[in-house]
Amino acid sequence: MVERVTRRQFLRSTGAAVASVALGDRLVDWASAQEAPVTVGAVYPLTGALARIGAAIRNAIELAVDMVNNPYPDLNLPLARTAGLPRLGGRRLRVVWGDTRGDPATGRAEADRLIEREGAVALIGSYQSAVTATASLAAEARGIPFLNPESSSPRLTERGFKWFFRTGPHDITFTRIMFDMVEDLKRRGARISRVAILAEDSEFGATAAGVAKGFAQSRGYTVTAMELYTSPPSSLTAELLRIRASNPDFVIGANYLVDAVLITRTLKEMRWFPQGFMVHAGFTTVPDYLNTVGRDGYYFLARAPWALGIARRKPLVARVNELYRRKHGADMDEVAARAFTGMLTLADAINRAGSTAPAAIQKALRETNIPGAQLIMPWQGIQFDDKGQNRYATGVMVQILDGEYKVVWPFDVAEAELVWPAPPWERR
Amino acid sequence: MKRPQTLAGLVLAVLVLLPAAIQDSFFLNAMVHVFLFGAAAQAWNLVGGYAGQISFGHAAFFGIGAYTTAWLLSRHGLSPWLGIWVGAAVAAGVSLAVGYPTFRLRRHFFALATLALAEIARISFLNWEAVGAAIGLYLPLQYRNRLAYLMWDSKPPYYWTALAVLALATAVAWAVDRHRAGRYLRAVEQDEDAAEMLGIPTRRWKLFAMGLSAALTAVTGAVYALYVLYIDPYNVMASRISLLVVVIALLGGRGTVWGPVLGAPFVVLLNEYTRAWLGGRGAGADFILFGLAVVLVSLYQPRGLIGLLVRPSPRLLPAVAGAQGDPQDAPPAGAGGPLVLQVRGMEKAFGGVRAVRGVDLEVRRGEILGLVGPNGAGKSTLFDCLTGFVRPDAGQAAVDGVHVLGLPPHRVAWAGLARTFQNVRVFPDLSVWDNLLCGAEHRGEGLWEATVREVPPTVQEEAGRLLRSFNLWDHRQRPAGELSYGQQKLLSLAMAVLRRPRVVLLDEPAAGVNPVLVEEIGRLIRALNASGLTFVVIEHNMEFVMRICHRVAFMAEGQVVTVGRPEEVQRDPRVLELYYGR
Amino acid sequence: MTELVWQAAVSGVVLGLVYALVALGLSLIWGVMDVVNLAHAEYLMLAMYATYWLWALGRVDPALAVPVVVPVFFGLGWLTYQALVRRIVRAPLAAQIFATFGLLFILRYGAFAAFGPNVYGIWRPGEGTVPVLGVPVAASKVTAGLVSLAAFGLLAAFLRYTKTGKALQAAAQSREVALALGIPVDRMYALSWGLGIATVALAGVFLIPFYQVSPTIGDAFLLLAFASVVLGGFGRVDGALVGGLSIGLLENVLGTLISPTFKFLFVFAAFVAMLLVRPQGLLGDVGR
Repeated sequence: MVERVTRRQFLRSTGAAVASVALGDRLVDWASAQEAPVTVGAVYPLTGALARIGAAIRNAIELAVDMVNNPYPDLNLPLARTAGLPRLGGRRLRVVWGDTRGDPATGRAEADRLIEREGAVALIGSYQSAVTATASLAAEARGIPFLNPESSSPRLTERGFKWFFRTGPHDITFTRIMFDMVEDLKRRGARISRVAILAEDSEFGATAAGVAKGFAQSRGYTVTAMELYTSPPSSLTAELLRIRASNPDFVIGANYLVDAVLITRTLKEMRWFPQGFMVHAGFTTVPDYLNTVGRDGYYFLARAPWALGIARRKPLVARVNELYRRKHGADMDEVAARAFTGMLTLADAINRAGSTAPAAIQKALRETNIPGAQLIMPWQGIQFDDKGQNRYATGVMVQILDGEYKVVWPFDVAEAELVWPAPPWERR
Repeated sequence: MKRPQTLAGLVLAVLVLLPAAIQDSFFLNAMVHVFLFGAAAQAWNLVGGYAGQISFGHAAFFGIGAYTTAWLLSRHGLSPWLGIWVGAAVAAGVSLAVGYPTFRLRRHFFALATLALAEIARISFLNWEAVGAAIGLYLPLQYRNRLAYLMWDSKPPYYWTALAVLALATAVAWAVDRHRAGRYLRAVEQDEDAAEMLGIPTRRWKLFAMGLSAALTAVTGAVYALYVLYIDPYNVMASRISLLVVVIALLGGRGTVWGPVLGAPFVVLLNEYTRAWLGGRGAGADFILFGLAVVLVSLYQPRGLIGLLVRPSPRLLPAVAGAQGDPQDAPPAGAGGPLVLQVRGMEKAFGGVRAVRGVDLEVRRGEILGLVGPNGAGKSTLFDCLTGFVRPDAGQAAVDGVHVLGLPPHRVAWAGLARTFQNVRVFPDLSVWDNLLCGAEHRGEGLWEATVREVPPTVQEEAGRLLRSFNLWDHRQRPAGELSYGQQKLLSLAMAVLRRPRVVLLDEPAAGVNPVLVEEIGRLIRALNASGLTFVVIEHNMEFVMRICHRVAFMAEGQVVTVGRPEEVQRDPRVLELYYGR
Repeated sequence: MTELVWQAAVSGVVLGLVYALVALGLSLIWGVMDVVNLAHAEYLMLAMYATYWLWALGRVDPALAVPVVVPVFFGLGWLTYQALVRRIVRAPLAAQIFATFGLLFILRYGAFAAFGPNVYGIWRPGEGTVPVLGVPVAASKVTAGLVSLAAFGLLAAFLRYTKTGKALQAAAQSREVALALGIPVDRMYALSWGLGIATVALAGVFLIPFYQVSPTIGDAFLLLAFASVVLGGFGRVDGALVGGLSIGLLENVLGTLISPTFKFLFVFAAFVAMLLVRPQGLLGDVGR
C-alpha cells in the first residue's frame, strides 16, 4: 500500500523522464534495505484514553519515515529527496513502537525496552508531559538522544538533561501567544481585562492553567475563576456556571477532546459564550471535534504550533497534507504536524551524524539548523538552545470559522479575519 | 518436612542472583513491578484476605507512601531510608483513623466506602499545593546512584530493593499466617460475633491488620516513587492501582501466604508481555485476554492460582501429649459455692416489646443452673444482654464482683463469661484444632505476641485433652465445616470451656442432635462441672435439664418466675400453667 | 448569587435524573441478587455506541433507536446472566467481584478493538433548549430526565402490580422462601439482569445526544452509580432515583457554591457519611 502510493505519487509529480533515475534509486534503496535499518524508538499512547491522538501521531511519523526511506524529489524537506540516509550509505530508517498507555511508569519501561531489546539509537515521544518526563529519563540514564516534538510542560527542558531535545513550543510560549493576541486586540480598541481558566487536572491541564494564571497576573489581568476538573467529566455544568457568573472577558482552556465536546454543549445550553474562548493543545483542531459538535464548535480559538491554513503561504504544507490524507484518509492535525517535524528533525540529525553512535547523534542534534523553508511549521527554523529547546518554536492562533481552522493571528500572516467578540448563540 | 520453606528459600536465592544472568531491562522492569505489586497485594491480603475486609482503596496508602517519601526527599533532602518509614507510619495512622469507623460496615459496603475514600484522597492530593497538586512531584535527580538515596539509573538495584520489599511483606504475612494472629483474623472473617464471644477483640484485630497492611502498602508506594522518579495523583493514587492489587491477591489466592506471591507474576507479566507482543498494534487485545483470565479463574478456581497448584492440606500439628484426660477425675463441685454471677434488675425492650423485665439472677460457683421457659420468655435476650451483644436498658451484672454490663462482648469474655450460641457457630474453614485454639485466653494477649508466637504448650496440651474427651481428636485437622452438626456442637462447647471461664452460658446445647449425643453432651457438661466449671444452660429438653442441673430458673414473659431445685420447679403450679399450659 | 444557585440546582436535578437512570439497573440487580456489577457502566458505553452507529449509519434518531437498542440489551443482560453470573450467584463476594471485574475489561477493550479510541457524538443542528423553571436546559437533557422518570414509574408499577414483578421481589427477599413458593428464582435473576441492562441501555440511548462516547467513558459514571444506589437506599428502586437526584444536586450546587474541583469530594464524603450513619440510605428501612 505504502509503496504503491509512493510510486504513483512519484510518477505523477516528476514524469517518466526521470523514471530511470528513480529506478536506480530504488535499487540502491533495495540494496541498502538488505543492511540493517537504523532503528528509532517511538514511545506514544497507542491504547487508552489518548489512543486517538496516538494514532494520528503514528500516522505522521510513519509518513515522515516513508519520506526518508523513499525518494520524494519534489518535496523540500530534510531527507525527502533521497532514499534512506545518504550519509549512512542509504540505510533505511525503521521505527519500533512502544505503547505508554498514557502511563508514566509504562512509558519509562517501554523506553527501556526499545533501547535495549529493539536497539533503538534514539527515541521520540511521548505526547503527555508526565510520560515524556519519565520516558526521557530512561534515555538520559543510558545516553540515548530523546526528541520530544509535542509535550508542552516548560519544566521538561529545565531539568538539565543532556540528551533531551524539544522541537515544539511549550506552555510559556503558547501562553505568550495568547496574551500577545489579546494585547493586539486591545490596541485595536477591544476592552479586555478579565480572564477565567478551565482546565483538566492532570499535569497537562494543571501546568497550562498555572502558566496562564501567572501570565495574566503579571500582565495586569484579573483572573476571575480558575476551575480544574477530572477527565472524563460526567458534567461540567458547575464549572461553567461559576465561570459565567465570574463574568470574564475571555476564557483560557486546557482540555481533552472528550471534555471539549461537553464544554461546547454546556456553553450552548447556558446560552453563553465569552468574547473569546481560547484553548491549549488541540481539541478544536482535531477533526473529530467538529464531526461531533458541528456548527456549535465555531469561534473557538486555539493556540497551535501549526494549522492547515498556513498552506496558503506554504505550498509545502499542502503537499505533505495531501500525502497524509491519501495515506490515512484525514487531514493532518497539529499534533501530527509536530510529530512529523520532530521525526524528520531526528532523522536529519542521525544522517548528519553519519553514524548510529548516540554521542554522534547527540552532537548532530545540537548542531541542528533546519531553515524554516524546509519545515511544514510556521517557524523560522529549528535550532536547539543549550537546554535542548528549539529556540524558534512558536505558534499561531487559529479560529474555527465556517468549519475550517483558519489562522487569525499574528495579523500579518492571518488568512481570515479574527472574529472577536464571538457572536452570541442566537446569531449563529 | 520443611519442603515449602526450602522451596521458597531456593526460589529466593535464584531471584537474588537472577540480574547477574539476565540484564535485559524490560525483563528487570517487569520483575520490579512483579515484586512491588506482589508486595502491595501481600499487604492487601492481610486485611482483604485474612481479615476478609475487602478494600478497594489501597491506592490511597500506596500514594501516601509515595508522596511522603518523595516530598521529604525533594523538600527536605531526607533520605528515603527514613522517609519510607515515615510514609508507612503516616499511612498506618490514616488507615486506623479511617478503619475505626468503617469497620462497622458490612462487606459490600465496606468495599464501596474504601473506593470512595480513596477517591477523596486522590481529589485532596490533586488540590494540595504543598505536594505539587495536580502537577505532582519530580524526585530530585541529583541524588541518583547513591545507596543513601535509593535511586539509580540502572535496574538491578531497584530489582533487589523491590525484591526485599516483597520478602518483607511475605515474611510479615508468613508470621501472621503461622501464628495466632492468622487464626484470629480468619475467625474474624468467618464469624465476627463468635470470635468476639471467645474474647477475641475483633475490631482491634481488624485495625491491626489494616494498619500493618497500610504501612506495608506505603512502603511499596515509596519504592515505586523512587523507581519512577515522578509522581502525581494520576499515577500513584488512581483506582487502577487499588484494583490491580486486589486482582493479584484474588487471582493468586486470597488469605494464603503464597497466593499474592504467585498472583503477581501471573498478572503483571501477562500485562507487561502482552503489551510488548500486542500493545504496539494498538488494539488493547491484552486487556481482553486479561479480563478473560480473570473471569475464568473466578468461575473455575475460586481459590485462585494457588488452588490449582496446591491442594488444601491441613497444617502439621504439634504433637500434643494430650493424655486421655477425663475431667471426672477432678474433685466434685457442689451447688453451694460463693456467688459468681449476679444479675440485678435487668431490663430490655425492643420497640414496644419488653423482652426482659427486671430479671434478678444469682449463680453460684460450681453449679449448673438451668434456664427454662417458653419460647419468647427472654432467655436468649438475657444472654445477649449479659454478653454485650445487646445493650440492656437498665440493670447490673457482675462476674465475681466485676461489672460487665455495657462492655463489648470480648471484654465480657475477658471478665470470665463464655457462651455458646443457639445455632452452632464454629469457624467453618478453620480446622477443628484452630477453632479450639481460638478459645484460648485472650485477656492480656498482645497483638505482636500473637503475631510471632503460638499459644503456650500448656494450653495446647489442655486443648488436646479436651479434644480427646470430646471424641474430636481424630478430626482435629479437618475444617470444622465438614463436621456433623452434633460434632460442631461439641466443638463449640470445647471452644467455650478451653480457657476455663468463670461462668459458661450454654444456649440450647442439646437442641437438634440425636439422643445418643444428647446423652453424651449431658455427660460432658456434668464432667466439666465436676472439674470446677460453672454453667448456665438454656434448654427446652426438660428431661435433660432435670438430669444435669443443680438448680433451675423458670422464665416467662421476660421475668424469672421461680428458682429452685429442678423437681421443685417442675412441680410449681405457675410453671405448669405457663409452660405446659395446664 | 441566588440565581446562580437556582440554575445549578435545576441543572443538578436534570443531571441527577440521568445519574438515577444509569444507577437504576445497578440497583435492581444489586437488590435482587446481592451482586455488585462492576461492569455496569460498560453496558452504558456499549449502548451509547449502538445508538451512535444507528444514527451515523442509518440516520436513526436516538428516540427511534429505543425499540432496537433496549430489547437487544435486555437480551445481552439475560445472556450475561446465563453465561456468567448464574455461576457466581452463591459464590463468595470475592468471586463475584472477580467475575464482573473481568467482564469490565472484556467489554471495555472489546469496544476498543471494535471501535477504536475515537470519541463519537451525535450532532443535531436543530437542537434547542427548553426553559425549565426559568433555566434554559438542553432539550435532549430534558428528554433524558423525563425518560428517567418514566422508567422509574414503569419499573415501580411492574414490580408492584404484575405477578412477575411480585415474584421478582419475593426472589429478592429470600431465595429459599421464593423457591419454596415455587417461584423460578433462576429466571427471576435472569430477568433482573435483562431489565437492569435494558435500563442502563435506555440511559445510554438518551445520554448520547448531549454527551459523547469513547471506550473509557464508563469511568465517568460507575462510581456515581454506586454512590446513587447507596445514598438513596440499597435494595429499593426509588432509592436510585433519590440517590441520583441527591448526587446531581450535591455536585452542582456545592460545586458551584464552593469549588467545582471538590464537587465529587462532596459527593463521596456524603456517600461515606451515609454508609456510616445511615447505611440503609435516605429511604431505606432498618435491616433491608
